Amino acid sequence: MGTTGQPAIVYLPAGIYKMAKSLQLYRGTVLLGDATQLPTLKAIKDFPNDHIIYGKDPHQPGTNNFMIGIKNIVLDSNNVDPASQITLLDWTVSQATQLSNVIFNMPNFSTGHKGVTTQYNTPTAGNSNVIMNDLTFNGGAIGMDVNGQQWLFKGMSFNRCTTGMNIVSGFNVVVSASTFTDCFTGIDATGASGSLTLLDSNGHNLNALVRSSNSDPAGHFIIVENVKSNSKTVVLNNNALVTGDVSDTWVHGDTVSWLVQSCKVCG
Amino acid sequence: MQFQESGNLNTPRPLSLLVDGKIFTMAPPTYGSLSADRVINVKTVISLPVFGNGIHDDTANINSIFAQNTGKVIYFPAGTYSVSNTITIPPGSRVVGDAYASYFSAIGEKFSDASAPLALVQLGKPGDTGVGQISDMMFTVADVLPGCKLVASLPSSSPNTGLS
Repeated sequence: MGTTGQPAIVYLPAGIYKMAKSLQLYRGTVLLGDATQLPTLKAIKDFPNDHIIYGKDPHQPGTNNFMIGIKNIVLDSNNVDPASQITLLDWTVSQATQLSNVIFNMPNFSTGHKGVTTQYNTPTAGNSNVIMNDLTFNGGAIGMDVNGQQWLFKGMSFNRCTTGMNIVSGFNVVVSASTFTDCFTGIDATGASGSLTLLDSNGHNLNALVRSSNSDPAGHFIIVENVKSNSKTVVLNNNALVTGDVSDTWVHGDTVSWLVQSCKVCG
Repeated sequence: MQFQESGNLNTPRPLSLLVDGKIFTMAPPTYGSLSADRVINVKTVISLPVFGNGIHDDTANINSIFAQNTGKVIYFPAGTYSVSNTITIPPGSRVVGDAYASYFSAIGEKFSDASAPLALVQLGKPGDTGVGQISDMMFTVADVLPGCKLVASLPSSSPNTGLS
């Protein structure tokens, strides 16, 4: 059948589905819930696997995991012991994939639960995902624990996570139009090797919106643009370099002065 | 090059890109608020049959269905919709497919001239303003076609024109 011989659109009507073991997706599989009333996949108390959904097709390296999608679904681990190591979704996938309008419900500030991880069972091939958008993470030790290359994370909402987004690795990460509320850390960027850009986003009641390391020369660049924050906004090596709103652009890293030019088209 | 541990810069943000001070974004539409009578399955219009089988030229009937149903959601079930000329999507149109299984596929000599490229899908005509949304559709070619532009969209002053 080759790699595209058995595509499948799997539609889930509204309801709460008791999950006694995990779901496996394959290349060409799109899992689609009722958009008017999102179905919930709820793990049982003694859930036996380390993920509720394995998004990565095990027959292919992560970088070749194309044409997979999940939309309009709620994943729920509230019945699982908060100290258990469980990840709701493995998303070790590549381009031409979509993950949007999914809600991840975990016990508040649980020590073991994570919403999404991206480095499952790929010792060499990694992943090459490019975008995740319009996802909500409630509770959990980590909402998104991401290890990859390039990303746009758009329209994300993190509530009551110990850490909203943990960048394990990534050389070009843009977070836009996202909100971080009642978390300890919004984004931990210590693992970023290139740049993290936080754009048009809000931090509310956090210990730190962006937390990372500090070095000269910079190990990574941080750009914060049009961000609202009612607490510490950027904390590097435990020092708060920015507190409160950033109405224009704040940067940490190497700047090149000839790039700053007058703008001919702005209003 | 200068290391700045904590620097402030100005980033110009063109007003035409902004809504409420933020660069315009929107979540992919689900159309969950629409009643079923606002959605048309492109393969079930009896007077304008569309095959989507990768063989039959569906151009004329697809264009007619779009022209007669502005303001509705046109659903393209899984299939390859072979098209020999431009599909024009008028303002007010919303198109949704079966994600990676629904293809607009260009075929034929009209798409073969690199000096006069032709659009496979054209959102609106010159002077049109309004909303046009396409989601979960794929765009491809069935042959070597150096004169094919997969999707052409005309700039508009409204931020609500979205291709996703």
